Amino acid sequence: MISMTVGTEPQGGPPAVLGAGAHDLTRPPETMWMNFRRRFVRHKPALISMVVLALLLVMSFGVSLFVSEEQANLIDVQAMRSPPSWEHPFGTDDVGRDMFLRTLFGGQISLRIGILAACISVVIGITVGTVAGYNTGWIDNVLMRFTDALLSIPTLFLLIALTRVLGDRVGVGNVAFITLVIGMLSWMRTSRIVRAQVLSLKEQDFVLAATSLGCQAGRILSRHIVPNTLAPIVVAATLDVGRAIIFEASLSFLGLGIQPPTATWGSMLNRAQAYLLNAPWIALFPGIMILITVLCVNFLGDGLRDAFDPHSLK
Amino acid sequence: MRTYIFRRALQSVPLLLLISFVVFLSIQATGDPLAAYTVDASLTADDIARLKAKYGLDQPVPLQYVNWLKNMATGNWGTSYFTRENVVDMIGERLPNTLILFAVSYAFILVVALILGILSAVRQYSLLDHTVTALSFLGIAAPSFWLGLMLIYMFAVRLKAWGLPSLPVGGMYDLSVGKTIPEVARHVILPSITLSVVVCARYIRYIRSSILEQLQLDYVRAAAAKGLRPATVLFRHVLKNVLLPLVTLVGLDLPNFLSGTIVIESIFAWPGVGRLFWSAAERTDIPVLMAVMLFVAVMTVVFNLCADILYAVVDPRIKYS
Repeated sequence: MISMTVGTEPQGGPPAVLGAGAHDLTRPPETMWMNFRRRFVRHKPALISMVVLALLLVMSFGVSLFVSEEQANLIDVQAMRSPPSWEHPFGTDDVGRDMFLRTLFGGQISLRIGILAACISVVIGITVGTVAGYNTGWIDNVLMRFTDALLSIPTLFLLIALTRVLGDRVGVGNVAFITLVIGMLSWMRTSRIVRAQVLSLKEQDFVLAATSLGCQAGRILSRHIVPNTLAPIVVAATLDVGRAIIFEASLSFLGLGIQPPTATWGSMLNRAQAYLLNAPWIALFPGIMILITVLCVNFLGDGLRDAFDPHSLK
Repeated sequence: MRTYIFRRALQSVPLLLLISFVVFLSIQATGDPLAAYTVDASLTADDIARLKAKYGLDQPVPLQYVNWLKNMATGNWGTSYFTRENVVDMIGERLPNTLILFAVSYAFILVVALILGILSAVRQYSLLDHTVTALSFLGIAAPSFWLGLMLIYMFAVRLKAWGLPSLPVGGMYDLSVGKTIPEVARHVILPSITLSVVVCARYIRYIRSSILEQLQLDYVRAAAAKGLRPATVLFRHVLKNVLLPLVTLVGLDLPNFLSGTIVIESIFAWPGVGRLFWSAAERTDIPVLMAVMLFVAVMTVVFNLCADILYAVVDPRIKYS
C-alpha cells in the first residue's frame, strides 16, 4: 500500500526554489518531510484543527499558571446556577462553581487521558501487530483470535466492567488507571493495520537484504519494518485520541469514571441532566468542548492520511 | 453453500470460547465478587465462607471458569446478588425494549442515510452537499450523551415551555396512559435519534463517497452509453454495488451500537439491556454484569456471522467453497 522510507535527514534544509522548472538541477532534493508538509498545509481543515487543538492545549494547561485548581472548584452557593455573564463566561454549576475555569481544568484531564490512552493503544497495537505479522503460525493465530474476541465485546461494556470491578481495588476514579484501561481496550484496530502492513512488508527485498546481512529479527522489525508502517499508525493514533476522549467522557458521565470534585468534560455533564430546565448551560459548554476536540482530531487524522499518501501529491 | 455456512459457524466456536474467557477473566478473576457483601459489618467470616461456597468461589479459578461456562451454556445464568432475580429473566424482560430501540434506530438510519447520501452524491459540491457533509462531520464527532441532553432540552424542555406539543424526556410510556403503541412510539423518538446520529453520519459519508467512486467506473459509462436514464443507472446498477458492503458495515458497527445503548438508555430511562448493565455496574452485581457482557458479545458474533452469510448469498462474486 503505502511504501516509503522515513528519512532521518534534518527537517530544515533550504526551501525549494519557487517557480523552478522540473528539470532545474540546482533545486535541492525534496525530502519526504517537505512533501509531507506541503500536502498537509494544503488540507485547510486539518491545518485549522491543529491550531485549534494547540490553542485548547495551551489554554487548558496554561490556566494552572494563573488559577489553582482549588479556586476553580470553589463552591459559591450565592452564585448557584447563574447564567453566562462577564464574570462567569460559561455560567456557574449547581453549587456555584465557575464553569469556564472548570471546563479548562476539565480539559487538562480529558486531553491528557485522550493522548496518553492513544499512546498506550499504539504501543500495544504495534507490539501485537508486528509479533503477529512476523510470526505466522500459532502465535499469529492466537494473537489475532484474541484481537477478534476483544473486538466482539462492545468496548464500553468491558470498560465499565473493568473500571468497576478492578476500580474497587485501585480506587474508583483513579485517572492513571482509567487511562490505562481505555488504552488497553483500544489497540485492536491499530494491531490489525500493523499486522497487515508487516505481512506485506516482510516479503519485500529490503527485508531479505537485511536478513542476508545477518540482522536479527528484532532489529529487522524495529529498524526496517515498523518505520514503514508509521503512516497508518499515526493516523489511527490520532483517531484513537478522539475515541479515548469520548470513552472517558461517557464513563464519567455515567458516574463510573473520574469522580467529583475533579472536573473532566464528562463528569461535568454528569449532573447536568437534572438541571436542564433551569440551567441548560451546564450541559452545553463541556459538550461543545468535546465536540470541538473530537472534530479537530478527526480532521487532523484526515489531513495526516492525505499528507502521508504519496498519491495525493498533485 | 451449506458447507460454507457450517464452516463459517464452526469458526465462531473458538472465538466464542475466547470471548467467554475474556469476560470471565475481566470480572471474576480481577475483582472480589463478594466485595459488596463485606461492607456489611454483621457478616462474620463464617458467613463469607458460606457465601463463597454457595457461589462456588472457593474453588480454583480454572475450575470456576469451567463451571461458569457450563452454567452459561445450559441457560443457568445465576441470580442477581441484589434482587435475587434470575438473570435470564432479567435480560429476557429488557431485551424486547432494546430491540424496539434498535429497530426504530436502524430504520431511521437507513432511510436518512440513503436519502442524504444519494442526494449529496448526485449533487456534489452543491449547497445541500456541503451542508450534509458539515453536519455529518459534526454528527460523527458529537458525543451521544451530550446530543441526547441537547435533544431533550430542545424537544422536551423548550417546546413544553413554549406550550407547543413536546416529546417526553424519558421512560417508555406514561403510567397514566399505559403501554400502548402510540405512547411507546412517542417515547422512542428521541432515544432512537440520539442512538442513530453517529452511525447515520458515518453511513452518509460512506454512501456518498462510494457512489462517487462507482460513478467513475466503466460499467456506469457503458450503462449510460446504451441509453439508460441516469436514475436507472443510479438505482438499478450503482446502488447495488454501494449497498452490498453496507451489510458488512452494519455488522461491524453493532458493537458500537450496543455500547451506545448503555449511555442512551440511562439518559432516557429506557428499560433495556444497556440500562440493566449500567445499574448492575453501579452496584457491582457480578452475575448480571457477566451475563449481559457475554450476551452482547455472543449477539455481536452471531450477527456478524449472519452478515457474512448474507453477504455471500447476495453477492455472486463471493465463492463459498
